[in-house]
Amino acid sequence: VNSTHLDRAEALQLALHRALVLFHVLTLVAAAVVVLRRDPAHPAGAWAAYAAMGGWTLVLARTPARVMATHPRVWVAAATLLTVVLALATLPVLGTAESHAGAITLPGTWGAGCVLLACTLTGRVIPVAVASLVACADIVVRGRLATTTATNTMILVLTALVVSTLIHAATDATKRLAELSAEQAAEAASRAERERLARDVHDGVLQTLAYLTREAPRLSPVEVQELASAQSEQLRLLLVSDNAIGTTELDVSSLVREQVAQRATRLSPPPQLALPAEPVRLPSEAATALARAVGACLDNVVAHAPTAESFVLVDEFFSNGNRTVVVNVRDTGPGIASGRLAQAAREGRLGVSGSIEGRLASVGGSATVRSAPGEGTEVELRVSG
Amino acid sequence: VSADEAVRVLVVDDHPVWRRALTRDLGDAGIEVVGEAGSVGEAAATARATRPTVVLLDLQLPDGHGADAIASFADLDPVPHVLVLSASGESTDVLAAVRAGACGYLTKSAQPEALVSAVRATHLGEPVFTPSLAGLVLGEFRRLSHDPGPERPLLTDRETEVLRLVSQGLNSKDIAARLVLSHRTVQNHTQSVLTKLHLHNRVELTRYALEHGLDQQ
Repeated sequence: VNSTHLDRAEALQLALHRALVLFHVLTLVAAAVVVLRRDPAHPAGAWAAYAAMGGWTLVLARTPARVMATHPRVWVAAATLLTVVLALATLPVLGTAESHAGAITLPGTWGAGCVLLACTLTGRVIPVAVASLVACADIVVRGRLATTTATNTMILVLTALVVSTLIHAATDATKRLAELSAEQAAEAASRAERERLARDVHDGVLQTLAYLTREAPRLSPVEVQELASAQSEQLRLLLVSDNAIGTTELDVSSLVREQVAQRATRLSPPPQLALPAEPVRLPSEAATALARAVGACLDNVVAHAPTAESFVLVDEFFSNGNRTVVVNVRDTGPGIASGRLAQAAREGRLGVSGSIEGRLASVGGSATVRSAPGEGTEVELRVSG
Repeated sequence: VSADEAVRVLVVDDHPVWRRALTRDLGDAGIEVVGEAGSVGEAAATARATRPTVVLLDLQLPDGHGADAIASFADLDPVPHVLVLSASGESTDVLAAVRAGACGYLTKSAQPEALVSAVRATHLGEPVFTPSLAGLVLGEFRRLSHDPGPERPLLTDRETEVLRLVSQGLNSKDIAARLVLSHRTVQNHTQSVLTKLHLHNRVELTRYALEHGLDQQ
């Protein structure tokens, strides 16, 4: 069972325990005031009884509910025994005549405490049994079954029934609520995974299928095959991705493939990829930033040179023990006049400086753009790792 | 004498439809196809019988890998130059074939004109580097550079530079202009990259044979 369940169940147990202690304290004070104002025959006995009740109340207050729950019957038996003994002690302490005449016992309503304790710790039978025992002790103290005593007895037994039923209902509801939220959490996780798959499938496979549906008559069989094979590769990557959730390093090549696949329908001819056979790993944050910067470069190709050829090279350099991953994105489009990029940045259009340079700067990388009108555009992205 | 007259092509592919299409495309361009084969075994036998100068080789064959076929051409005269034509483009397969001695690699989606000029280049022993193959070879040399062995092949800075530009889709004319080299020098660099890879493969095979006592058989 998950921690939410335990948290909620514990919270309910704690609340019940607090209510139980509060009941004991308040009824103890009430009982003491009522009895001591009647000038008992043996005041010392009365004080001793209240000392015992106070002691027991303190024990209940200091003992955590889960500790009592390990031996529920022992605690209920002890509380019941104490209550019955104190109730019977009313006879010698107040004197038989006073006891029979008055409608009170030494514990008074405090005596219902053991019934409540039984309600919180056990099922429904034991509380009723405890209530009956305490009621019997009251009857013995009164010497007969008066109407008021009968009413008190009935109230006590019914209270036992109602309170234990309520507590059980609350416990069941708590458990069910916890199960529900666990189910909901699991459902939310699987929905998120489904959405991720749907998004990836949509970005690649569905887009390509839609494109094929529309354009297939005008494409050569080989082009159709290439598009289809790129997407089957993409689906395979999706299903057996090295870049599973939770890994701390990601393969830059796989991420770049994904970026290219996401734009497959908007770039014709498709970008040509030059990737090493072995994975090019970087810490996930750096790898993701680098791949997204590649995506941003490709978006620029889509925007400014959609029919140009484009090339993406993933390579790595080693010098003096330092490793640098370098990705080159080149297109054969119209190119950019010198100063045009700086001007765009000044005018607040942040294509290159924001989504490319900004992304890389956040992981300690850099980008350089090399372009001239009529000579295409080359962007070199570098990240050390 | 045009170079075409000497070009003799063997087409190795397990799909008859593909073989027919390739034979037709090459024939249209005036290139003679001297034989067709559908498996590694057939390729070896047909190559022996027809003495091709170029083998157009698929990698997934029913009885083995295309790289096995390349090994079987080693004792032919002339030793045919191999151009890999693969549908999958699975990088480890392509690398294995190039290490085994292939001069180039095209995907089956290449246009007929690209195929024809690649066959002509292959016939002359010129490497056919697509960006994707250049990327694979670059990666292979990066990997080899971490090997502790004394015979590990290393690229010169110039070769790396050329290969990186090939990977980015520049042709040898563009590269020559950018690096201020002659066209011929650029081709020599790409040639020497492949030669280093082939030599390294041969050294590795020999060492393997020595270590396992295969040379005594």
